Amino acid sequence: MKRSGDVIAEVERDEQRHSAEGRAAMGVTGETHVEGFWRELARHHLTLYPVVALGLLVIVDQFQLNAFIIQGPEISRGLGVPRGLVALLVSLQGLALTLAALPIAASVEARPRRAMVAKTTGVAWSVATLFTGLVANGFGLGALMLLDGASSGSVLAVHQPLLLDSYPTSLRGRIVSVYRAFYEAGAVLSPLFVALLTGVFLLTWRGVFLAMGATALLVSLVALRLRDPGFGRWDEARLRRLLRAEPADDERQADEHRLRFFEITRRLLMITTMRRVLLSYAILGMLLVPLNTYFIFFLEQRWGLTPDRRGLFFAGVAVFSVVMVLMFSRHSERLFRSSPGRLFRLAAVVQLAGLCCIGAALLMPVFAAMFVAFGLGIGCFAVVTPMVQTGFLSIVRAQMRPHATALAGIFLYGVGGIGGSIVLGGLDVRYGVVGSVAAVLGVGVFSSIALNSVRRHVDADLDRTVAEVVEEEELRALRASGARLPMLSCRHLDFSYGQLQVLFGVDFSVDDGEMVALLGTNGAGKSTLLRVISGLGLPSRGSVRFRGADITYLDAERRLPLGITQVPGGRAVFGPLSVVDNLRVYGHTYGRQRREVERGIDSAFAAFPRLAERRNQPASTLSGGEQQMLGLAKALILKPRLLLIDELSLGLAPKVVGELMGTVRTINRAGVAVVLVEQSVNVALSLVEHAYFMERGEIRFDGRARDLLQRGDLVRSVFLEGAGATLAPAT
Amino acid sequence: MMHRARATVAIALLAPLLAGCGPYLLRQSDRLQITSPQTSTTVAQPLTVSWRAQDFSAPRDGRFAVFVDRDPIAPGSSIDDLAPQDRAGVYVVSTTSLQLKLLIPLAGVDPAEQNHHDVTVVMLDRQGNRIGEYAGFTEFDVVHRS
Repeated sequence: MKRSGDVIAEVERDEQRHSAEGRAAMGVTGETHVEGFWRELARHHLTLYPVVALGLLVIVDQFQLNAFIIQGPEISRGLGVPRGLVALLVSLQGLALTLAALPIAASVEARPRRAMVAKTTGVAWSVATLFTGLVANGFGLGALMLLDGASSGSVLAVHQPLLLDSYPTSLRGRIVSVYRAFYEAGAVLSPLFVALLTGVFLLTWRGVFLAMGATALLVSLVALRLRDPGFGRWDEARLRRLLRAEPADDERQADEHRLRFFEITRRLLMITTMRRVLLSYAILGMLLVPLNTYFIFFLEQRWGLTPDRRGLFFAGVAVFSVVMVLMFSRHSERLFRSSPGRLFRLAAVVQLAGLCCIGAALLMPVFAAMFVAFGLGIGCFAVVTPMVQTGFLSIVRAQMRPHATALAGIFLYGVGGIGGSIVLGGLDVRYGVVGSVAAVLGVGVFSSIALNSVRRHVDADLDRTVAEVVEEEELRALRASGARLPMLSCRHLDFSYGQLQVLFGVDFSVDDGEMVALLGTNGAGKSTLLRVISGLGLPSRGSVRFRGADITYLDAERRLPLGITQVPGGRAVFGPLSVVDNLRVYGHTYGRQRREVERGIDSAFAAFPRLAERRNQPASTLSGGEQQMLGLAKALILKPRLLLIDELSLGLAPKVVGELMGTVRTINRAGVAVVLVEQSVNVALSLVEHAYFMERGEIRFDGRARDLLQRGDLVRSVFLEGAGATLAPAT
Repeated sequence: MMHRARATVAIALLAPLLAGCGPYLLRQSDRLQITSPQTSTTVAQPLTVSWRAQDFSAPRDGRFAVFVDRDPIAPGSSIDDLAPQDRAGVYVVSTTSLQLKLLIPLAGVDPAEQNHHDVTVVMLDRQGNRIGEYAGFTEFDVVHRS
């Protein structure tokens, strides 16, 4: 009989067939030709509205912080609050920004409402700026700075994911660059706006905040027409449309299988590209925060710049960034389309060039040359940002991009920024200003190395993303056509304990109501495979599907309601607890449904009368066989549909083993699929028709149980001793 | 019901911010200006800080409080609320000048900043409460005679 696992093998062949068109749908066509920006916009009947609206929002987002920093002394004198408090509030604003990014990402993970969040938070930070002009005391000031920081978290979490879904992949690199140019323009316009309001219109700090708040509010209104195009409109959804013969009614994943906040975050951290980018960002963050501080000292001491001139200096530097970002955008696009790996390599080189330019700025004898060198250096950093973001966001599933950008922000500003202040703060006392800037630049080299290392992984990560989408789509089509899918299907599973890899490309499937044996030598990876299936371990590669739905990264406790239950190896009981309490503890899965728990306990005692006799006895006083019975009884309380049993017979007398196996057979006859992990081949093969044999983390045999007996190279004589005598016909 | 709850939350959040809302100073005012020393100058000790005030005459309308190297009190609060040990660097005068005989180099700052000082002058009413947000401010470097 053909097992439904074969259907999955066909899906896998489809994945390979669709790999190239999948990459193209994600934007990586392999071509170096890039269509004109305006022509592409016109071809897709798109306008600049989304990028302009979000760009304007990101400009006015910088009003509050810039006005606050520039007018800190006036605020302190006007309100009579300590100067230290003003500096503390700036730090608190940054902290709120980084901490709010992930919750904001969580708020958009279920439904595509990023546009709504962007608009709401835009109004929130505009109102915060406006009300700062009316604040009466330090508490109010603190509350408004926190509100501004928290609402600014949306810039990190939703702006770029929304942009990526608003424009086709052929414009991706350039659109991200244009958005970045708006961001850099904000760094020019905000201080100039403050200077205009104070210098020309002679407003006090209150007047400045009121004027900037009102302006921000008006600008926020421009974004009111923003709409969320849906997750992955131009990449994942396009790929789905390519694969699909007929349109599907509902593309949304069932809620019980949809990854939630922590699962998404954990999933992202398992992607190599993502990890390397975050490492690079953390190191870059360590560099950027102290660099700004030390460079201000450098400008003051070496060139005697007063605060207002320093403000003009940094505004001028931001002009370099705007120009360079726009200049590089087309080239970035071309590299991304032809090879994302090359894009990351260029990003690393440009970042390194930026470090060199800033280093050169320290040595320049003429102010103009120093200004140009510093401007080019900061411009290089600005150019790198859209390159990296285009690259790493393209290998992340659309629904997870808000989390990915939020994590990037946290690593840059939180981990790196705070870490940099701690590790590299105070260097100037020891090495002087020039020495401390040079030391900080040295740290930046490691960020470039980390970025360069991404190029070796980004293609594989992109292929994995494409494969996930293709697999989902193929399985959806199979389900729609009424094809029988396996209850459990594991494909290409890799798993490591730290650096030690123990599973290598494991394929494993179980049909509804089937009982399979998973055999192998000690340390072959059998128990690890069960852990991956039950969610106690997460694979570094591959997928676990339950009735076709991807549960690879679902938390273990969310797999229980699906019906996946494991009886762990050894004695799966809580020794000090009584038998009935052991059962009750497992019943907690039912939450507050006490009747359901009591019914479960009654049925467990009916199935295992010996446990009923010992219901109030501590589990540790039970015999080995009884403890295993209790382990099974606990699993049954959860009404499993797929029962994973690990080494049930270990250390038990043959008679007890026979009893337990009889129980397992009864459970299976009731329709529960069972995976039986055993070292004892004769015990396992007496129960099953289908068997897998594992050796050194690989599946070495997948076939009928009786065929396994013929494979002397796998099943060593020690396992087979007496097999022929005890082998009962499988049922 | 939901809207009412939201409105209540919004009011609760905004109330502390609006509390104390008054006739805030929105445009720069020259009602109180320090005339000497000028900002960003270098002066020798002893030095005299001078200022001028419009629509305010001391001691008829109140007094002036001079804060040297420290933040002024908040508008509306009383100078008398400062504890005796917190009064270092605070001078209350009825004249429009104050002679500072010796400014001690600041501790705990960058060596280059130790001789950088600032002075803030505010107006007090006859009860000793700070009037509005008007403040005269100057910052300067001091040279020490060897």
